[in-house]
Amino acid sequence: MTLSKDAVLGLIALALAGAYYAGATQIQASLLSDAVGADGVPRVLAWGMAAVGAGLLLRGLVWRRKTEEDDETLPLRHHVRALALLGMLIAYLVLTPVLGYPVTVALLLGSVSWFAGARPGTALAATALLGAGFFWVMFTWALGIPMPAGFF
Amino acid sequence: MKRLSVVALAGLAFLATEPVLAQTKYPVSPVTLVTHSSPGGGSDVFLRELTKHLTPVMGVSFAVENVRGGSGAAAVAKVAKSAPNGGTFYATTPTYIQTSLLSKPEVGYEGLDPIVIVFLDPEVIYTRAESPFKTLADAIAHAKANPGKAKWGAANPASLERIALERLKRTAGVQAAVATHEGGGDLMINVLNGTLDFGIGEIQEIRSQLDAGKVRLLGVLTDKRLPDFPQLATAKEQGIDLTVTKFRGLAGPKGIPDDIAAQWETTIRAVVASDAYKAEYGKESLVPAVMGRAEARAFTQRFAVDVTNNLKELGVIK
Amino acid sequence: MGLMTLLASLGGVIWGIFGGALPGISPSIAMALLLPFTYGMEPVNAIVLLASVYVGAEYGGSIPAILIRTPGTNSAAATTIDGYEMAKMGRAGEALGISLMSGLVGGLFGLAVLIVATEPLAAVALAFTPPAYFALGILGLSVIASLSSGSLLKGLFAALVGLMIATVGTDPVSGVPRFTMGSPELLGGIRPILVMVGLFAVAEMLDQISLPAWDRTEARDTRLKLPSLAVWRRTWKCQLIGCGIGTFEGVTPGAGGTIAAFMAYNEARRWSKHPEEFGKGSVEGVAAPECANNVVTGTALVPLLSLGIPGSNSAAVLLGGFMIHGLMPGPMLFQKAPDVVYGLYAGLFAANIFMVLVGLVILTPCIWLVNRPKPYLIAFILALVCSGVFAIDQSLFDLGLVLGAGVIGYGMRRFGVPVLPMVLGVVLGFLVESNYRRSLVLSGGDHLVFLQDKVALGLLLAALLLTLYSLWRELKPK
Repeated sequence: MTLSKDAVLGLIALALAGAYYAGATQIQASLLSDAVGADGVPRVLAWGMAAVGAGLLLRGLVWRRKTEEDDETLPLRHHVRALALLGMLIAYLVLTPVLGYPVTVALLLGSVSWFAGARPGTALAATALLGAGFFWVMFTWALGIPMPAGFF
Repeated sequence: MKRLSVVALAGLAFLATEPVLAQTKYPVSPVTLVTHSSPGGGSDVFLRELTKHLTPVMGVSFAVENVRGGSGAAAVAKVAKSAPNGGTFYATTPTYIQTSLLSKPEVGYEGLDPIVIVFLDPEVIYTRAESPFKTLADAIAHAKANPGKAKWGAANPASLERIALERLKRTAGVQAAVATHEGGGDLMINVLNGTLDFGIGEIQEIRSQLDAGKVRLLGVLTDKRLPDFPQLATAKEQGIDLTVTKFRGLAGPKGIPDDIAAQWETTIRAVVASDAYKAEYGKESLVPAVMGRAEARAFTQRFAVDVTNNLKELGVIK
Repeated sequence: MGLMTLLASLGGVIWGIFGGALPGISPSIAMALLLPFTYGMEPVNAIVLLASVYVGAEYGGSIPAILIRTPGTNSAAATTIDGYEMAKMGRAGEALGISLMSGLVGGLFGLAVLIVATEPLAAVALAFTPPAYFALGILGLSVIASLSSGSLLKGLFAALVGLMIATVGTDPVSGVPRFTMGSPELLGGIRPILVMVGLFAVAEMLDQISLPAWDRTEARDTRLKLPSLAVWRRTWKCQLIGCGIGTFEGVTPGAGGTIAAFMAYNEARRWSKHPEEFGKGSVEGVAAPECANNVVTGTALVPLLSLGIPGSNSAAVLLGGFMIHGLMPGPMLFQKAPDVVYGLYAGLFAANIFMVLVGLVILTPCIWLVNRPKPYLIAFILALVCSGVFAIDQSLFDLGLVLGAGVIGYGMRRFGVPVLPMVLGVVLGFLVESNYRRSLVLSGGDHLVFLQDKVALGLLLAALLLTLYSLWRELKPK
């Protein structure tokens, strides 16, 4: 039996509630605090989330209500491509302090355009380089933001 | 933008009428002054006003950089990691010591070396004009007579002001609810609409209400009376043994050469004594208290020990 | 009004629209970047320049909200709902036209209120005690019930996630860190704009990367299209709603344009003859929030000018601008420097007019930009997000948060969880919690304080009625 999406979401909500509650118990007590306490509202939110999770689980298991989302059948490829794009963004995050902003933003522009379907060639390379120059001028010069320079 | 503003600053240098002191050229330009306060906030305005007067004297340009996040921890870390060539400084206030003690960030206040202290900020207790209280002693008497009814306010949680109010409760032996806020504006609203008996803050935060006669000062938490408000009694005179020192200064990464430190001391002394700057900081009731590096180091150390003791006494830290 | 003041206003508006349109550069950052520039200027020109940036930026945020589903500013989040739907249908030019003209209506209305009613509105701002702020936040949260698009449980799920995110950072009462996992970057909390950019822009791109290119043969707007008389007739009521709500939210320090926009959207739908079109590209759904958040550009100055209290980050920067010129906003400003106050009024008026003129010039090229081939568009949007987010605090950590929010947004789409309740939770969580606890500190733990305060009681009753009405409408058999 495959779980309906409501049931899966309910389980996620319950897990989230549990983890968040555990986090709330870790909040240190302070003599500067009030009667509600720094952990008071988080505990309430965790219980609320648990209730919502239970409701969703119940709806998914007992009523087994079919939802629109259950009909959404995305091919595995969709998720893989999203993951790959996320990988490129994480690479940008990691590489910026090393290579510097102008280089990484050019790499990001080039690789994402290529991945999204632009044909590799001079047009793509030119767009990436000019685009990077444009962003660099806009943020570093016009806005005066100290973008990471990297090893330069 | 930054380049344009540098040009604008250079232009100002020409126009300024200050006598340019004869001294050795400062080795770095532009000098970056980092603050944790947001643009327009207390330290930000302090730096921007100061640099206006420093530029013609030192002959270099200045850039103010707002590095927010982590209640000052991010800005401190940034400056601590910069090169000790006199090119980067952090605008110090008690906040960076409080944050170091309370949140224990990677780089604490010990990671920086104080280079000058410029001003002391007097802390005042104030209430709205309609309030029945005329002095701090009145308000304390009210709190004594009505246990659990007194309501006091400070701008931020875990701030120096908050700690001061907690100490006030202890020293005076009264019970009071201390409400914290998201900044001085929120606090002012709750003082003006009568939610609070009184609030605590710096003169510059309440200046406009004070001028308009909407708030009344109840007491000042300094050793001596303020020259601008000779009638305003200190807490000590009102029988409450509580003083709070707030300071403004600069600190840099460790290892700044002595000649640069000496240059800062002479420059700051000259600028603080100039009439043009006096007129500006006088409006904010800042008390000039210039200290060079050696003094500033000792002062900061003493301050940190005091704050640590207070926090321990209140049971906030172990 | 001198020529220099006019130039300051024009320059400010251009800069503001540019900054506002960049995701991450908030109105306050756009203003702060210009602050050093104002040193050498006449006080009036300096203040007009900064205020014009504010006007421009509040408007500019809606351009990417409509064109690429990325709110450039917090308060443009509500505009993404119907604005982007219209753009997907090829009606980008029309949506931009409506947002521009609604912005003008709102901006001028806000200015009129500022000029005529500063004194009485200052009294409103002062009537907001902590219980009243708590109630105001609850009223904002009550919108969740009708933003949940079908499933109340999922809407609550999203709202709770948002509220949980809002608890990250320094505790508002005791100052202890919460859920920061030892990271100093989280001590100041998570900025709502980071969550929004992740949920909207990054999640959209993660989906778009595998979808076929938008069909470009259909008729698409290639130019800006100003609203026709028929459109004006459909939107005037929403603009009225936007004006009312924007005035109220603007004068209460701390509430601001974001809540105003969401509430205006919600009320516009409630009173619309075509509520079913909302969320599917309704012209009214663009007009209401756009009008409301531009009203705020005028009315948010009420507490600043009359009380000297900055009600938002942008107002705080403006306060800094005043102080650098030795001026102190507050009750005395009208006596001490009337020329600055009247100059500011005139400058704001000019700014609203310039906003439309600049919009007429730049919006058609903006549409041209987003009609470029899709692979390049995706790449540029992501590069813009990565750069803009870094610009907020020069922090790559923030970019990591945005990517995290993007993954959450991608997941929520798979489960049909609505995004907007989460945005509301993030925006309002801190306001609600801190004022709830502050009220209880002051009342000695007595919850009755929320019913004793008249303003709080009124707002709570309104929240209750609106929620019941929304539930009834959602649940009644169709």
